[in-house]
Amino acid sequence: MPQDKYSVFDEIIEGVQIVDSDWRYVYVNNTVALHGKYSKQELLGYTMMEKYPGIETTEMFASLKQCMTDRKHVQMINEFNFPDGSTGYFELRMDPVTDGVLILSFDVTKQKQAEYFLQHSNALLEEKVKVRTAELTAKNRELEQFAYIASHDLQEPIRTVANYIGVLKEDYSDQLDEIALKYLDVMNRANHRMSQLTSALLDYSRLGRDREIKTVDFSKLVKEVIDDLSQVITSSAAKITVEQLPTINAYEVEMRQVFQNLLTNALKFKKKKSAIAINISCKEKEEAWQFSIQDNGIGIDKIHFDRIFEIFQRLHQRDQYEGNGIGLANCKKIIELHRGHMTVESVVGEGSTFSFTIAKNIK
Amino acid sequence: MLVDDNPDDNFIHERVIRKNLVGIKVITQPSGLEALEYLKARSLHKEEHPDLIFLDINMPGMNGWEFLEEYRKLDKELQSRAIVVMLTTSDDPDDKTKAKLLGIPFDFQTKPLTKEMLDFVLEKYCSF
Repeated sequence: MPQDKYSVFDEIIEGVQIVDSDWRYVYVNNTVALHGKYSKQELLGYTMMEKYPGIETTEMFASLKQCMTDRKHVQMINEFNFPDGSTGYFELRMDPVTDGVLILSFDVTKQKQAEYFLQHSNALLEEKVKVRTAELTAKNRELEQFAYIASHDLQEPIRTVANYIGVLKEDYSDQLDEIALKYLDVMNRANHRMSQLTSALLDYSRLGRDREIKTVDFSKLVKEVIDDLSQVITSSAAKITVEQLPTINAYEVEMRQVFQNLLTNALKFKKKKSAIAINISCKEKEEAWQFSIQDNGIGIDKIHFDRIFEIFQRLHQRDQYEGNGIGLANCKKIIELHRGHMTVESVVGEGSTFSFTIAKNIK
Repeated sequence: MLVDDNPDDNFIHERVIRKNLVGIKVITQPSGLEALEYLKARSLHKEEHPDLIFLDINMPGMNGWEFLEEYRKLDKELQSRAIVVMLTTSDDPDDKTKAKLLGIPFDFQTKPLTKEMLDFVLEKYCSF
């Protein structure tokens, strides 16, 4: 019997079967018999078509045919339906042998299941991320709208207070003593400050509302910003060097504001004794352009690096350095509109470098 | 005529006008609808409309724009001299475009009404 010479395969855990050129079972081991519908005796001597009608149309049979004809190793993953109705996956390795083709089958059901599970959970995860992102976008929009409405509607009562402080002073000055007038001044100043803050917040919430992508020559844009600041630059004897800057797509009006804010900061936060030196440069990265504005000013302590980009955050007393504490928050928001990031590197007493990126593909 | 739902604003604006234009008659109306009724009544009696209307935009009920729509339909002869100054807190550019489309002699100013603003408007449009 030809199957005797293969009896060494009888007990191994992988399935082994040999079919001849007429697709007749020459040998099957115990595992194959266990997995299939039939016992060894029911298979041996019969053709595959007799036992599994329709098999000749399967992918597995096509591979088998290929192996039989070409006499070359063929490998595939086969989906197999067990008699109990469950599905298993087998890696089939077909090799030509003297009697026909030897099919070695490895059970890869577990791997296949894991793979399927992974794919499924990836898809699920992606779907979840999509939903969350949409929720976050909506929430962000709501917040922006809130900031806009709040800052817009607050202006009116603030203005009314200012008006009436004015009337009070005009009409009742002669009836108020020095202390009362001083109190009025304090109220007026605080109210003025509140007005500045709300209008800064209004501007912030409006940033990018009417943004428009243009091809921007940054050398030209930076030169214009420097020209606008020429008075401060001359009076503070600042030296500004501008390296070669690219011409790229950006929101021009908004980017002008970024340079204006960063340069104004560099000019403002200067060291008392040394002359201001500012360098503006740009490097091309794979997916973005990276701009840097380096100064030799007072620098920023590392612990404040995150804080400075938050709205209304100030590191200094107002009488020391003026400002609303919104400039860098504006810059950060604008850079995010450009799908970029804004960072700072700084050493106290040595200077700061503000860097930001503009994505090559803004939209 | 001052049209504003905020009496505090009306008070301040009336005060500025009275201080700077002696002997002028100032009428204040708390809403677009009441301002319109007032003008309609004047039309009925063939009385002239105010020379200058300061109009708030954001008012409950009939807002400034809706008032203007109705105002246009009134007797043209009686309002031949009337200038409308839109007074608002809004600096929305859309408002300005909208105002232009209405074809009414108008100006657009941000609140509050000040002496400087009054001088500017008077010099530009009126020759009392």
